[in-house]
Amino acid sequence: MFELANSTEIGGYLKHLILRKYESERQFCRACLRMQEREETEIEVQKMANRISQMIQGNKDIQLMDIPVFSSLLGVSPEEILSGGKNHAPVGFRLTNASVARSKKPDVWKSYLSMETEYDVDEYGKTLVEYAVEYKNYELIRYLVENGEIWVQGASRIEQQALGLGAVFSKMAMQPATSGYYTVPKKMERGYAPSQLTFSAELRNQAIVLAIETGDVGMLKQMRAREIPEQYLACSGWDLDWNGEYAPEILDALMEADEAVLAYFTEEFTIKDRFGNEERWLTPFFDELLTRMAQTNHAIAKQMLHTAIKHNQYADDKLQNLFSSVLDSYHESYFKSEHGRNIVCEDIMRNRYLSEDGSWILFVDVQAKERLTTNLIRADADKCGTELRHMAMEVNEIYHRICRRQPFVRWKREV
Amino acid sequence: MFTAATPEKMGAHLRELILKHKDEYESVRQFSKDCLRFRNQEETEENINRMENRFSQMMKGKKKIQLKDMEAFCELLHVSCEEILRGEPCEKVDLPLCSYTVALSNDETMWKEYLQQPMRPALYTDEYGKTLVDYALEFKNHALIRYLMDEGYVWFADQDPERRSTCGLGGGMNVEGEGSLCARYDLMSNGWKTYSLLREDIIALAIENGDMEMLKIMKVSEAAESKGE
Repeated sequence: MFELANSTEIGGYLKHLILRKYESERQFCRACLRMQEREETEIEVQKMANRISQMIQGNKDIQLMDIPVFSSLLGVSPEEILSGGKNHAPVGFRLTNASVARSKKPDVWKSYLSMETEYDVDEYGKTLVEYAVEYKNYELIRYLVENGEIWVQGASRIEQQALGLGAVFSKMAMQPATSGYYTVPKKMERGYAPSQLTFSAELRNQAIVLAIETGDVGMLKQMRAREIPEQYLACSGWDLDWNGEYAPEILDALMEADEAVLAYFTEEFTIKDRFGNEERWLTPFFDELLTRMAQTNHAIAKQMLHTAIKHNQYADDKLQNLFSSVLDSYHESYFKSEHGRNIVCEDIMRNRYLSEDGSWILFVDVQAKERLTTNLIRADADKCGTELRHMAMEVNEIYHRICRRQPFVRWKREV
Repeated sequence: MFTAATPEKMGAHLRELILKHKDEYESVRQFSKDCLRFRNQEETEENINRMENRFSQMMKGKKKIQLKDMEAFCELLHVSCEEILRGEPCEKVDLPLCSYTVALSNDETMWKEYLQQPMRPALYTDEYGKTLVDYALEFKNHALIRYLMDEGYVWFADQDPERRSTCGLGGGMNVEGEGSLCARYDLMSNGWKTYSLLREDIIALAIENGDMEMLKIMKVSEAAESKGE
């Protein structure tokens, strides 16, 4: 039971609560206006400051309508305020990372975001975003993305280079810090925030799974779900770590996904990399998805094989064209002797890089500044039924042709 | 933030609550009588009628609930202020145990469970920058502070003279982890010196609760300087 304190006691305790959390009464007034979605004009702030000041001095009673705002902002129950700090009843619905992430009410999310604590970790080291993913609160994640609270790609090139795409980013993580590029949370950290938000591929993967399950292609596009950071950073010696970025649960979710989602993940798309080069890619785990789809006789398997043939053929054609264009840049004298031709061939092949696992290729025409950077598809023909096997073999045939392809020096000499 | 309901919604919920407790209040009139008794007001016919009329108006949403009513409503209807203001029961969600809830509780089993969690949440600040000890002091949960000391989770007045020379009588927490005992005193940046502030708060709590034993443990009558180190 709580005992209603008199106005002076309530006012005194209110002042204590305000100054415990806010730098000044005025700052608290601003927070009140923000929470009530009222304009923060100087006049409004002054009006509010006067009211609060009267309450603090005990000259004005606290109003019933003020209590929800005060209670939420000061993190105490109405009973605690009304008893002048003598009663410590628990808050009925306390706004915390975990409780807000459980809520389905946009007004609760909005209130919490206005308090700007969503990127502070709780005692378990988790932020609102992490709980939202854990509780599979897809509506909240969507709300955060749509309101620009979290995003999956840094706005500037330097952010892209530093952070890639492999994460859910937050405003908090992106605010400029006094030293270095990014801030650390203002509260005590558990050692991995906000990097847990900034670099966690796991968190992003979980969010992608939720979007797949919901069939929300718009969200998948915003999250660039079929891409990984390395596609933007690809250069020789840099192996694309597909497995590190894509969890098996994404593939599992795709096995049950609807047509639109599958179309998004299985079509060719363009990426403009950090060198400004636009290139056609397929999703990095296309091979594995294809195998699983073929194994289960999924209707999309045939379409995927068509796409794979087209994609590999594109890569082969482009590689041939780039080789020809590079050959054109060599002086004729090189082609007059076997030695010269070998030099040209070695020279060109030095700029062709096939990743260790053979999953992607890079070729750079240094002079023309043109490049081919894309993934190459292989199909497991044994896992395909009779109808699809010949298509799978065609995919592999083109793949091996690309791997074997050499600059066509003989032709050049004859010309 | 929770939102205050309209007077109509608040009134309707008030009616529901009175009906829910019909074994205690068979009518609004009976509830009015109990309210008067709760407020130490005379149960005259006139007072009862006046009170009953007011409640009747409130239940129809024609009159707003007043601050002075809250105390009686919460007590007699066994609900929180928040529920009355919301005009509906508070959302109940299944959440992990947190420092705030544990510090408000007097359930020893709950304390123990929380302190033994592998993530050691008791040592870390929550999203509001407070730890278990911060909340326990804020809510003046003497029993919990005492439990923490008795079970050896928290210690004060270090017996090690070497450590005492740098941090006064000192204090610390014996839960394994890298967090902080108490965030309010900014122990991370100000180090051991601030333990004396924490010590003062705990001593005040012990005095309020007349806990002589705790005062002895805290070496209240001594100051670090008197140790001559």
